[in-house]
Formats: sequence, structure tokens, C-alpha cells
Amino acid sequence: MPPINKSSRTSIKANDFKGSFKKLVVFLKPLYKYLIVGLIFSVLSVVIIIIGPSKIGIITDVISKRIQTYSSEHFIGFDAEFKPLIDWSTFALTAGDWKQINDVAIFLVIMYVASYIFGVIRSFVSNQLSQATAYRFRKMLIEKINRTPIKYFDDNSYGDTLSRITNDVDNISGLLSQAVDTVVLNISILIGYVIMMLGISWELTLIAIASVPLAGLTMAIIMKRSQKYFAANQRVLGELNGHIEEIYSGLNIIKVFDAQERFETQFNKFNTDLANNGFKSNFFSIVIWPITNFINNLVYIGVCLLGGVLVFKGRRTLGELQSMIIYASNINRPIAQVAQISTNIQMLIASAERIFIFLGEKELEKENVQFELDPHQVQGNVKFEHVKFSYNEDREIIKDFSVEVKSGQKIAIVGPTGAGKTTLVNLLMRFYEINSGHIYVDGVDTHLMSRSNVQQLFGMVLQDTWLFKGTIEENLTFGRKTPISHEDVVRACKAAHVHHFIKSLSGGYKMIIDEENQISSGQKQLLTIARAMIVGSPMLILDEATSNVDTRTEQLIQDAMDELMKNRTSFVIAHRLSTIRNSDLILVMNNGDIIESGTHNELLDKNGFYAKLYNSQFEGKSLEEAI
Amino acid sequence: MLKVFASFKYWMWLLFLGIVVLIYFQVDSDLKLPDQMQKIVIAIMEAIQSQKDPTQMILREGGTMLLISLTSIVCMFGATLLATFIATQVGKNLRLKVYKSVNNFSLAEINKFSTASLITRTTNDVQSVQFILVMLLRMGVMSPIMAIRGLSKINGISWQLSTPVFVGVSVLLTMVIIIFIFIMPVFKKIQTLVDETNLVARENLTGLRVIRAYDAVKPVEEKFDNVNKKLTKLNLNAGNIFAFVMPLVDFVMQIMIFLITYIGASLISGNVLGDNPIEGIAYQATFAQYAIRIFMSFMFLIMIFINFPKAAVSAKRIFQVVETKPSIIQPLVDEEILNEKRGTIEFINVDFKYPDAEESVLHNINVKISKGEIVAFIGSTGSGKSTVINLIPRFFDVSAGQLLIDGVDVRNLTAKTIHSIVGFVPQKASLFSGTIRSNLNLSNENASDEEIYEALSLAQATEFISSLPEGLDYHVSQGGKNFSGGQKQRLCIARALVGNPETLIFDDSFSALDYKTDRSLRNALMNRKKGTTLIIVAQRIATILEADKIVVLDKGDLIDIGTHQELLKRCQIYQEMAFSQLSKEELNATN
Repeated sequence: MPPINKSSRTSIKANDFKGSFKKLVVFLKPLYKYLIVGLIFSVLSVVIIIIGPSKIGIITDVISKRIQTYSSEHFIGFDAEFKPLIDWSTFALTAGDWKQINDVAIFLVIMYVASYIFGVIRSFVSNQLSQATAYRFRKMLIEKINRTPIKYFDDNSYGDTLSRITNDVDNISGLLSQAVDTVVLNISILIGYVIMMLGISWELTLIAIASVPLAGLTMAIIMKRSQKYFAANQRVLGELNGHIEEIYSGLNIIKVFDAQERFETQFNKFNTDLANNGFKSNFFSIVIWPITNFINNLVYIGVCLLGGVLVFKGRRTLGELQSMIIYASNINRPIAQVAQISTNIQMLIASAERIFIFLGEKELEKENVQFELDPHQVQGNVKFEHVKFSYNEDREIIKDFSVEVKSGQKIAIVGPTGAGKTTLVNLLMRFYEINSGHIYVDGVDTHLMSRSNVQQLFGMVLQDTWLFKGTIEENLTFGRKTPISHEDVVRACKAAHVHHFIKSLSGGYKMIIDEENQISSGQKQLLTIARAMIVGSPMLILDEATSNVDTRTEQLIQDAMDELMKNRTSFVIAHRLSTIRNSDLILVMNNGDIIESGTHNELLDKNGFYAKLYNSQFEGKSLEEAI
Repeated sequence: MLKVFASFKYWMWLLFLGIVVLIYFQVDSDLKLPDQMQKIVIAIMEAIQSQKDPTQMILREGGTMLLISLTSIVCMFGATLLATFIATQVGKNLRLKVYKSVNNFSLAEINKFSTASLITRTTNDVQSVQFILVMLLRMGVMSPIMAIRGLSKINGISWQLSTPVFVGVSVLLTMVIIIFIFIMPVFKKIQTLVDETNLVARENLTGLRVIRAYDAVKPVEEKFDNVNKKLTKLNLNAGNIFAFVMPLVDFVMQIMIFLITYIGASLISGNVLGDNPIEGIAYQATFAQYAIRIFMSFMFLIMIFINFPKAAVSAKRIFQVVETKPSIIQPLVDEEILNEKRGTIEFINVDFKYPDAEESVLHNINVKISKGEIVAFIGSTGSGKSTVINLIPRFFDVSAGQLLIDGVDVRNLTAKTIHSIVGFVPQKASLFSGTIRSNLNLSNENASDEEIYEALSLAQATEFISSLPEGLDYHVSQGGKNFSGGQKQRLCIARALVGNPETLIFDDSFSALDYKTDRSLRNALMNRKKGTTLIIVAQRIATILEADKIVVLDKGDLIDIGTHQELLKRCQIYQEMAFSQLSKEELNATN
């Protein structure tokens, strides 16, 4: 019985309930056999749940009939209050009575066992259903991620996508079987009750059914309130979470500015709101049960009243009345059950909606593959021809850019932070598609190659040093298509100056990298350099070390990069003047635009942005003066 | 969890008493109800025998029944109202307690818990305690009352009829124990696999570029599929165990009622139950009703029992925070500051060690900073340069030695005073949701627009602020996400300037600025904030060329203090840094 109520669930209301509901139904189509089997066994269980009381009633009936016969046979007169006096001393059920009772008993036991088995099968099937759904959703989501343009993830946080894979899928797998089960089971029970009651007495059935709209209406009103406060509760919880996150992570600043009191006022407001909404939503969701019970009691009295008269008139037996009472006084329970999980159904659909929205995102453009370049044969001549590009339609970022890069050349990309240096990387790697113009590699238009073929041609070493959980060697050989010997891996690591570091780790090349072991960002960068060496792509995209790395490591990274760049066409996002000065071509970027290009000396002569940027470090002083 | 109850206010206990009374009456009415219902059935039977119209009887008894039912519903309403009220109020108080405790924490305590964990403790953990409280206050009170009342009612009627009840309840309890034994380890494994699935998915997302660059989509998807399959399989297993056990609850209850009816029949037949068979039938029916209620009350207890461990863990996590004493305790009043010492900061033989760490981060640091000086701290990663300046606003306390601000040991100054003296610009620019104004006037809520604009202009931020339509009232989203790194950094600098402090500390606060902005910002600061002491931690040597004093740190040791020229001549570590950043050829170029 896992707790149903999880406080951390996020958005609870779907924007397009109907649409998302339909999509979910379509999605569940391949799993229809689970649904059908579940449905059949639901109905079977319900039949038993419903027949049970009437069979138990038979036992009571047998006894009360015997009592009636016996009392008429052993009537000895009236007492002072004119009540019949009966001699009960020899009362016993006859063998015939016992046969009837035993028949019912055997039947009941068989039914209960069957009911248990059906119940097991039902839970079994709904378990399969929800797990299969979760599995498929997760699989589809991860595949979708890999088919979605990078742009989507540049615009949306990872956390957002991740929470769809985890929280939303969890919500669905947790709630789906529960929702299907509850709804199907309770509707069947309701129908079954009505059928059974009709079999006993239509008059009494009417009384019971008359209470249904009353109960339905009351519950609708309560649930509506409850959901309103529940939604408000979730909203305030989100706000409070945001507030706390901000305060806790910026506590130093708040203290430095002595602003605790100001933020505490804000906190108190959220906190009080949360308590109030929590109180109301909790109260309303619990209160549904006493109200249901009260309505049921009303029905009970009504049925007794009318039923009593009917029994009195001999039109119905006492046993029938007893069965009737059981059905009638339970008729509103299924409605309450469904009402109670209606919040869960909403959450379920909201989660499904979030998943479907992501699954419906625009995918990578269809490829038009006409050429394939063998990475081993590629020379590394790159040509940009009238390239135009924009992230958004309203602002063109690269306007008609043309440049020719010869095999083995080193191209430095420079510019202030946020200038859009990664844009160029994005275009070269075809993470983004250019709007017009062409990029050629060895004379072949990259647009006529497959994306993966283009990407194969470039090795990448970025500041964002991505490594995954796995051994160091697995990380190093990641992306390598052909097998490689351990010796060759070691050779590459030596060239990348990271061999000694790896050797110093416990486990060496077999050490598992995860979040806990502290590998410094500098060492990580060296590892990614080694990785690029091992893959051995003919061209390179590099991001130089940041200032966050200590001096010695920075030197190592530089040496390793120099080693890697030998004989390879390289695009370097450069931070160091020495790199920039030695490159064959400098692309100067600002505000997402390539504003100047040329060699170091050419650009200095131009006395434009680059010259200013270069000189700003020394503020016009000559270098001796600066020293 | 006991501590949660200990934190109850006295009026909560009064309300709790109210809950107990209300629930007692609710249970009382609930238990009378089956009696009353049976009375109606007996009334019908008797009426049939004596050939009297039962309508009157039923109406009378029905009226009583309705009254009882109404009592029950009113009591339950009241109890629910009180229980949810207490629980939400306790939740509210706990959140406030945690929040206040965290606000008194120093960096040491925050690092100990981690921010993420503190956030969970303030919200999710409190929610789960609140959830169990509602349950405890209602079902936890009701179930024992119901069970005891029910048991006492059926006690002595017939041991034969009692047997199925005891057997049923024991089977129920055994089931719970079995579930715990079998399912708990599976759940633990599932949790690990859930974490692993998340990890692989996150790796795929964060490594999107690399994965595509190395054309490795397939292997990554296979890896995910692998954990996905494992997770699905384990979930299936756990679910299947539940599938076997859960229907048993219904089964046991049905069999229990059946047995009561069946055994009851033979007892009635033997004339053992009640004085006569009519009474016998009534007893039997009443008995079944009580049996159901006893069974249910045990079910409720089990539900609490299942949910309890999680909440108890949450409660423990909450009180860990509340009971943690902040390592930095403020004095009640300030020691007097002498005017001639104003603007000075002095480190005397300062050692610093992180709590629980074996080695010191700083050893024997001695630096004297006079009023109006510009002092820079420089060194490679791990040199301790940021730690040194973190001591000034008392984010941490020195482990040995003394740190004097305005001639007074920081430990003898209240936080308010320290913060009015020292302005601080953090390494990681952080803004708070609100407006630009609410961020900038953090240190001085009454700062005028002129003061704010002056600070903005010093911080080189006027230009982009004036381009915003709402100006100072422009919305800042959480963490300042709607600003670029450079913009955020400039706003943080302006924020420190609004307070007009004697001393300004920049903890590597220029890193997101390009050289040009960095340059003009420093020029503006130096020209217009004469008399203000500036303390700068920097990575770029170019940033600190004109400092009055440059303090070179290496692995926590103070290596040298001097000007750029002096250090370039005599300090090897400084030379190395200078060469690597400006590069030798650069230093010698344009000769």
C-alpha cells in the first residue's frame, strides 16, 4: 500500500484535458489486451462482490423461516403485554435447513476464493499495464531527446525535460492503474448493485437510486472546492520552494546586506498561505466520507421503512430486505470513491500532457544524404560560403559570412563573453542548421551529408567537460567506432599529459567516474583531450582552458592541445593572446556577429574592435609600462 | 517524531483533547448505529409475528438512527476540522523554525547540510510530517477507541464467534509483516535504480553535443534501455507481490463475515446465542457489524504504521536542522570602535581550518590594510584567497589568531555593525526575484533613486538599465535568470555600492566582464570612491596591476606582499602567474 499522497507532485491541472486524455487513450492502444483482461476480471470480481450479500442473506432467511414455522408450532399463549409466548427450548434447524445453508456456504467459499484469484489477476494485469506504459514512455522520451534539435535544450532547462522523464512518468505509472481500476471497478459495482436491487424490488431500488443525484451533487460541490484549494496549495508550495531556494542559496548576501527581516516577511506570507490552503484542501478531501455515510444512512432508513411495509405485507422476505439494505446503503460508495480519485486523474492527465507536449516538439530536419566522407580520407579544407544564420527569426546573427580554411590551419575565434562564439561551433557541427549559404568540407556541401557523418569529422574539447558514470577507459574510448588496444589508450593519455594523473587514482584506468570523486575541471579537460585523440577525427573544435584552472594545469592543457592540433584543421575558442597571435585566421565576434576576420597583424592594422579589445588589457600603456 | 509533539503549543493540546472527545462520541454513535439498525430489523420481525403495521416503529427507530448518524457526522466534522487545523499549524511552525534556524546558520552549517537538502527539509519533509499528523490525529485516535469499544462490545457474547475476528486480524497483521520483509529490500533496490535511470537520462541531456559529435546516440540509448528494463522489471516484481497480497485483505474480511454468519447459524440452532433464536439472529448481525469495524480499525492502524517510518525520518531531518547550533554566535552589543581605526582591516596570525577538516586552509596570515587602500589577493586555485576575504564578513570564524575590523575583533561586533562597515560582491552573482530596485536597495531600503543610479553608473550598468522600459522597476526573475552573467555581476557590484560601506570586497567579481568593462569599472571605482578601502580577489593579473598592495597566496601560505613591480622583480610565484597569463612573448613584445 504505497502512500498515494505525494506532496512533491508538480503541476496538477491539464490545460487541454480532453485532448491529452484522447492522446493517452491512443497511446494505450497497443496495451489494449491488458485493459481488456483487466476489464473482464474487474467485472467478474464485481459479480462476486455483489452476489455475496444476497447469498449470506439466504442463511438468515433459512433461520428466520425456521423461526416462523417453529413459533407457530410452539405458540403457548400471550404474555401480559399481549406478546406471543413461545417455548424455544426445542428450537433447532432441521437437516433440510442445514443442507440449504451448507450449499450456500460451499458456494460462498468457492466464490470468495475465485474472487481472490480474480483480484490477483486484476492487480497483476494493471501492474503490467502501468509498468509497460512507464517503460514505453521513458524509452520514447529518451529517443525523442536524441531526435530533438539542440536549440530546444538551449531554450529549455535540463531539469524541465528530466522531470518529465522521472516525475511525470512516475505519476503516470503510479496513478494509471489506480485510476483505471477504481473507475472501472466502481462503475461496475454501481451497475451491479442496481441490477441486483431491481431483481429484489423495483420500489426499493427507486429509493436508493433517488439518492444518487443528491450524493453526486454534494460530492461535485465538495470536490470542486477541494480541488480549488489543492491547486492553490500546489501553487503556493511552488512559490515557497522558489523563495526558499533563493534565500538559502543567497544567504551570505542577505546577511551581508542585513536583509533577513525583509525576506522573512515574504516567507511568512507564503507560509501562512500554504497553511491556510493546506488546511482547506485537506479538510474538504476528508469530509467527503462522513457526508457519504450520512446519505447512505438516509437511504437505509428509507429502504427499511418501505421494505418493512413490504415484508409486513408478505410481498418480500426478511432475507431479501436484508440484502436490499446492504446494497442500498452502499450505493453511494462507488461515487465517493471515484470522486476522491478525481484529483489524481487530473494529475495523471496533466503529467501525460507534459509528456505529450515534449513528444510533439519539432524534430531534427529530414536529412538529404547524397555524399558520405570517410573520416580517414578527409583533408580538412573547410569553406563557408555566404552563410546566414539566426536563432530567432527577428534577428539575423550571421550575415553573409564567407571564409576559406585550408587543411591544417588554426582558426581562432575571439570575442567577449556572450559574443556567440559557440554559435560557430553549433553551425560547424550542424547542431543548428544555417538559414542559407553553404559550408563545404573538402568541397562537399555538408548539407548533403548525414548529420552524424559531419559530426564524425570533428573532435570536440569543450569547457563543459562532459564525462559519464563509467570507468575512465570507457569514457576515453567513448565514440570510438573501431576497437582500440589498451596500449594505444595509454599512449594517447601520455600525449595528453593525463596518464600520470590517471595512474595516481585508485583503480587507475578502471576507476569509475561519478559525482562523488573529485576530479578537477582541469583534469577533466585533459581527459576530454585524450578522448578526442583516441577518436582521431580529422578536424577539431577546441575551447581553451579557463582561468579557473591553476597555472600548472593550464600549461599542461595547452601542451596537450598543441599536440592534438598537429596536422589537424582546428577551430579554437581562444582566451590566450599567444594562441590568438599564432593562428592562421582570427574570427572576431561580438553580439553574436562575426565582425572582423584576418590575421593578428591585419586586425591590428585595421584598428577596429579587435585592436581595442587587445589593447584594453593594457589600457593604452605600452607593455613595459604595464610591467 | 516525539519532538513534533513536544513542539505542540498548549492550545494545540487543548484542541487535541477536543479531538479525542469528539472522536469518542463519533465512535460511540458509530457503534450504536448497527444496534439501532438491528432494532429496526427486529421491529419488522416482531411486527410480522404480531401482525402489526411496523411503520410507526420504523419511523421512531429510524428517527433515532438519523439522530445518532447526525451526531456522528457532526463529531467527525469537528474532529477533522481540528485535526487538519493542528497539523497545518504545526507544519507552518516547523517551516518557520527551520527557516529561522537556517537564517542563523553560517556557511559551515550550510555546507554541512547542502542547500538542496535544506530546501527539502523546509518543504517536503515538513509536508510529510504534516501528512502523517492528520492521519495520526484522526485515525490514530479513532482506531484504538474503535477497536477497544468494539472488542468490549463483542466480548462475552460468544467465544465461538470471536474466533474468526481474532484469526482475521492476526492474518492481517502477518500479511503486513510479510510485506515488510519482502517488499522493503525490493523498494531499496528500486530507489537505486530510479537514481541510476535519472543519472543516465541526465547524462544524455548534458552530453547532447558530445554524444552527437561522437555519433554515439545508439550506445547511449542502449544504456538507457538497459536501466529502463531493469527498473521496469523490479517495479513489476514489487507490484506483483502487492498483487498477491492486497486482494487478501478483502478475502480475509469476507471469510470472517461468512464464518460469523455460519457459526452463528449453528449457535442459533443450538439455542446457545441469546435467550431465543430471534435474539440470536440480532446478536449475530450485530456481531458481524462490530467485527467489520474492529477489522477496519486495525487496517487504519496498519496504514499509519506503513506511512510512519517515512514521516519519522522526515521529522528527524527537520530537527537535525533546528537543533544545530550555529557555529558563529553574535555578541549582544558592539565593542566600541575608535574613530582613528576606521576603514582598517587587520589579519593577525590568522589560521583557518574548515570544521572537521584535518588540514588548515590558511596558515599564519598577517596583513594590515589601511583606510582607502586597494589591496588585492592573488593565487592559483586552492591558494585560499577567497577564504581569506570570506573571514571579513564573518562567513567563517578564524580558527586561530585574530581578525580586526576598525581595530575591533570581528567576534566582538554584531552582524549589523559588520555589515554596515563591509560591502561584499560575491563570486557567483546572485540576484533575488523582485525588481531591480528591490535588489539594489537590499542594504538600505530607503535609498533614493539618485543614490541607486549613482551606484549603477559606477558599476557601468546605467546603459542597460536605461534601455529597459520599466527602469528600476524591471522584473528580476528567480536567481536573476533574465540577465546575462555580466549584467548580473554589474548589478551585484551596484548593490554593494548603494550601502556606501567603508570597505568594499570583491570576490573575483569581474570574471564575467569583458576586459573593456572591467577596465572602466575599476577606473570609476578608484576615481570616485576615494577613501573607501577596496579588497579585491582576482584571477586576472591585469585586473590588479594598480593595487597598493598585492598579497600573493599559495596553498594557504602568505608568500609575499608588494606592488606589481616589486613582486614581478622578487616573487617567483607571482612571476609565473604573470608570465602564464600575459605570456612571455607578450611581456617582451613591442620592445
